[in-house]
Amino acid sequence: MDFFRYITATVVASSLLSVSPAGADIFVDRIVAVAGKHAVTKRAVVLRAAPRIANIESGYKGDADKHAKLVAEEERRAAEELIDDALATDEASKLHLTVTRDEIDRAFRAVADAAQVTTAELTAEVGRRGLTMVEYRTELAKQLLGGKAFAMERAPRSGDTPESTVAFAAAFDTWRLSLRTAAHAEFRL
Amino acid sequence: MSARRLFLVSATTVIAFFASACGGGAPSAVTPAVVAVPTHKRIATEPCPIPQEKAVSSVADLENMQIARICFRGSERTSGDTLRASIASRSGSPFTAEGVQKDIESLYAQGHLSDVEARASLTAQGVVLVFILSERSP
Repeated sequence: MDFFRYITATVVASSLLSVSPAGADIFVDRIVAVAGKHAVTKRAVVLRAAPRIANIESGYKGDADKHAKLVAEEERRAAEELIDDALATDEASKLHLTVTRDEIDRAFRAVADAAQVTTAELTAEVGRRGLTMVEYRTELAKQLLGGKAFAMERAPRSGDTPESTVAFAAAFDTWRLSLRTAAHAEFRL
Repeated sequence: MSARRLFLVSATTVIAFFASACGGGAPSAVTPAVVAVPTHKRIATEPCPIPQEKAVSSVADLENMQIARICFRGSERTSGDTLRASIASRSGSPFTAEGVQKDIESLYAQGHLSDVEARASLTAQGVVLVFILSERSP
């Protein structure tokens, strides 16, 4: 059975099986990762990983097992990012850092510019991804807070060259990993 | 660039964009957060029969339907009323997956639970939402 026939059969079977009979309930959400007081749920992971998984599926020609492994890797990466966002936000909170509505607006425009789309197109994509704008702006706020905390604690960015941006991003990733390690993050994916 | 790739614009874009405006402070040690290793203990203490009367195939089918009842299973040390007070979802309010996600995060943040799962069913009165809890060892 080729991959696409397998996927089709799986989807049909699961759609039949997932109609709950009378007396049964359905799964809504659960915790899949924790660190400190933070819990990351399955829904959050699925939403975060969705664009990358869609990219995998758009041109995938391998077998089903490898596909499942790739999807699992993306979900694990999404869970790690969400934990990192939460822990970096904690650091920002310790430093009494905040973000303003204007800063989030500017970040939103920066994402649109980087993707070479209009803010309206980005807004539409947020909806297609299954997120409300409040959720997406909260994501941006967490990323901004993490960036602020890192710049404050460790490495204020110097210069505005591509090299300095890459160096800043690498140091930022290392810092986030150190937070995750210190928090003994646990994953239950 | 396809719309689907919009979100591949990494967090670095946002952070690098903003960090250039950030001031720098003196380096300081990162305070490690401490988390207890969770233990999984499930004891059904709050009876919550789910008389499902309508078949549902996914959470999306329940979106924005009225919540008829919320109950908790597996909590020995905290009453259902106390737990209900700690979440935003209410009987009579619309069910949303986003709201349930936040409820799970709120319940876990209280610190005495090691695991939370939410399940739901649809009755003639509306959605019955059940949180299945695992308490940490005392």
